[in-house]
Amino acid sequence: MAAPESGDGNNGAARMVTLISSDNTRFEVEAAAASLSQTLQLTILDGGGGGGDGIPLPNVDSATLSKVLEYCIKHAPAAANGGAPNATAVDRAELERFDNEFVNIDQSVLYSLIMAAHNLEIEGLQSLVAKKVADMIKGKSPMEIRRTLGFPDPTPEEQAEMNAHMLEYGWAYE
Amino acid sequence: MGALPDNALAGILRLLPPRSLAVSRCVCKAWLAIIDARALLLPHLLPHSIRGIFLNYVDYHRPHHFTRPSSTSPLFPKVVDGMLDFLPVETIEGVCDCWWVLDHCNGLLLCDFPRIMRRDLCVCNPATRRWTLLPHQNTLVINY
Repeated sequence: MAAPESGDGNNGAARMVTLISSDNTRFEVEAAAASLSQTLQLTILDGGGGGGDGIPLPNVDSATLSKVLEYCIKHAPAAANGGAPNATAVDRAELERFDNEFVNIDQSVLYSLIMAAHNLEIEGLQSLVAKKVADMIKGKSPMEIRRTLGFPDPTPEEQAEMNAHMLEYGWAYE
Repeated sequence: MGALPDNALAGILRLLPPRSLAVSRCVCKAWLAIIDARALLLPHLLPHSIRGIFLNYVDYHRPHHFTRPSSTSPLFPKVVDGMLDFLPVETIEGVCDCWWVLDHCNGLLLCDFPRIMRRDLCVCNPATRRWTLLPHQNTLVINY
């Protein structure tokens, strides 16, 4: 999604918007990058977020927003090319390397990113973090999954229920 | 990680292969509810490999199930229950203690339990141990 042309002498200077995190930190970022968020896209198209206004994001703290914007800035050029049909293999490999590195993070950060990607509706980031969690789940037993994701230990009743459900798909545990 | 919105969680679970999805169903109530409500597992309910075959015999009262020994965990000694032991006794042991497989489709068996003056038809899945009786038909069964 290209930034809409605005009247302010657009000779190469990209339009900027300001986003305000829940803890009141202001982030100035190219409109094209912020527009990866479906939630923000309409506001930005309507000319919001420019000048001194800024778009408040009450659900996203500054640490998370900074991480989200890192993703958006990296992915905005490819997204502007409509999925980057002209991208070279090198470009794609670089994005993939970035993505792998990007989700190599603490689980608490990962959780905040999932929530932010969900609230801001950033499709690519949603897929990326979902894939990361799915990879953490694959090949594990129910108890291992619970431990990996930091669930509390099951109560005896929950344990009994888990065992009963495990019998239903016995083939999955071979 | 326990408090993800349903849509975000479904987005994660959707990426799992059937085996992991079946395992994830047991993680907690919320996961089970989402996997079942969105039918994430149903399209690939069954394992895509042959675990065994049923043979109908004329000389025996019931089909025999042939399977290769599998290295399952002690929790699941018998993955596919060839005796259909999961069916309630009154269904499987009637007046005439015999049954056979009439037909099958996608791993489901259509089993025939002949009775005096009627027959019980049962659809079951020996892998998941789920079963249901079909409504009675007015067909007379001729035993031989």
